[in-house]
Amino acid sequence: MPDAYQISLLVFIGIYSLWGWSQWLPIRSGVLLLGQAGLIAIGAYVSAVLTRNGVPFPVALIAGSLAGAVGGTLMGLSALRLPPFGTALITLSESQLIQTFLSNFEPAGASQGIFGLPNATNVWLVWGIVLLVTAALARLSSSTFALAMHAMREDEVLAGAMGVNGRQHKLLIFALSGLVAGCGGVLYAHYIRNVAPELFGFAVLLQISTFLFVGGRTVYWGPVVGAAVLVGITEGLRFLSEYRLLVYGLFLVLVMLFRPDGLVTASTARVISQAFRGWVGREGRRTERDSKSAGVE
Amino acid sequence: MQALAQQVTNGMMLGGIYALTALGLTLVYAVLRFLNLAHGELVMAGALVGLGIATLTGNVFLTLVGGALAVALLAVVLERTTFRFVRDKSHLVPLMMSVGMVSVLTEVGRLLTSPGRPRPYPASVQSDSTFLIGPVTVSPVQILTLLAAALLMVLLHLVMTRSKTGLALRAMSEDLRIARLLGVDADRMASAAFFIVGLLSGVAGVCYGLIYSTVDPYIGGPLGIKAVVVVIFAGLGNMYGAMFGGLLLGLIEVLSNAYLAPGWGEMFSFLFVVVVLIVRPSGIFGTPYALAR
Repeated sequence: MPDAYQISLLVFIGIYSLWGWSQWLPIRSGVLLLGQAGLIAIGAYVSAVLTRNGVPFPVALIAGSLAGAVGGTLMGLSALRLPPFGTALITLSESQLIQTFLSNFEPAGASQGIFGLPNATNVWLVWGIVLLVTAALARLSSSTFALAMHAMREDEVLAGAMGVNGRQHKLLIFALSGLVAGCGGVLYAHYIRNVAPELFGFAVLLQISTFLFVGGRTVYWGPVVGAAVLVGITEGLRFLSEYRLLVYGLFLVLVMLFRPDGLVTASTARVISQAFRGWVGREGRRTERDSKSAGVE
Repeated sequence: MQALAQQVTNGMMLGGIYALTALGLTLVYAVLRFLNLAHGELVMAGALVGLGIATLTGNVFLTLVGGALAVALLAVVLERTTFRFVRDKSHLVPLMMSVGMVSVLTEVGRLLTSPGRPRPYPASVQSDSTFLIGPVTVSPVQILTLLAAALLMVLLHLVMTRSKTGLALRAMSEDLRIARLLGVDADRMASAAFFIVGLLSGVAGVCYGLIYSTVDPYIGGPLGIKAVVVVIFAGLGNMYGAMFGGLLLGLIEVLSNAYLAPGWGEMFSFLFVVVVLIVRPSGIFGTPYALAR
């Protein structure tokens, strides 16, 4: 039976995976969204205000996630006209804007934040949601939507010429990213049981990017692998816990240097999936479309 | 009126530091086409090295020169060991590498200052004497900061326009492939660019330490983000825009802190960037954004 500490690690891996997906989705469509910290903060704060005022947690969870989605859509609207780098910069600035706003906004506790939230998040809820998102993403990865994402990443103009509505598509991606981030924010806030502006700063972006880019950004379960590997490494080597951020940073630099596509790349994923199919005893058939949609950037 | 003149002066001093920081960021972008998010951490390194030298020697000029050279060395080492090898990869890879560098440098800074608490610059480099220029009170440290910033900007302008290195760097910023075909040694020039950037960051860091008189390993984050703010405002890769934008940001921050509610100054600068990007995606000085890919 795992003890309470191990369970808390599991919870964090789940929450970090949700955060990681909110960056994975845009990156798979060639959009560099760096505003996750802000979106997570929106979800966390909205739900915190609600539950503090006696609203039941499930309602707050839905409201927080939707608020994240609205925030994501707004970020998307502001970034539509900008080239990739511009998108990265404006979303990063907006995330900082949200953080500085919250740290000055008295009704939300200013830099103190909000304390004493109910302890509503547990491991079953988190992993239930993670499995739900996994199922949705697995379903998504064999849809025309995934093909459109792939086309947009390779060449946005060409994708437009082939009939992908870039504007609509991008906004949907931003909204979904915000939804996942907001949901992750609600779960996080009700696990650590307080929210404060400094929890949603640049360090969060750093963490998310590390999970995603270490794990691998070409397959949808990359963020889970990244979160599990990094949490595992720092917790497995207890004496490293004081140097957690140093380890994250070094790991990110080294992975970028020696394995720029992350630990799990499209080809590793293919090897694993074929081995798995062989083991189950079914013929591992791959259509041409599959191998293309698993292509590397 | 006197209060306003004082605030404007303070804003200019702060703006000098922002301008130096933003210049380094924009230079890396112009030459190597990636946004070095760990740039603020180079400034932080300058502030910490400066702290060490100031504590040992107590000499302001040694501190400035030593801090600048040490950070220049650090920047070149970083370029040679990491950034060099990802130059031809997708633009996400060097960007994320610099994100990793942020926490590596911050954590090393934290370990060097042990618990990472703010450390004061020694009094010997901090002379308390202030004097009046017209209605405005300034300290020698502030004048030194302004002079160092101005001198470095003029020097940078001369290097970029009059020297062969500057020519090569400008050629690389226009078209890396053609510059290489014409015989520019891209590896050496990348190191040269990082050396210059290191010098600028080192001086900015020491000046930051002198003005705020305490430093900690966490000053890099806000500084780096402000540099990003300035660089966007000025148009990515636009050197003169970065100088002007840095001064302007210093003014905006000091004035909005003084005359609007305190604490909201930082928020206004971010709001400003968002509005600038929405209204005019290529920045105020309108460098063609096609470059920014």
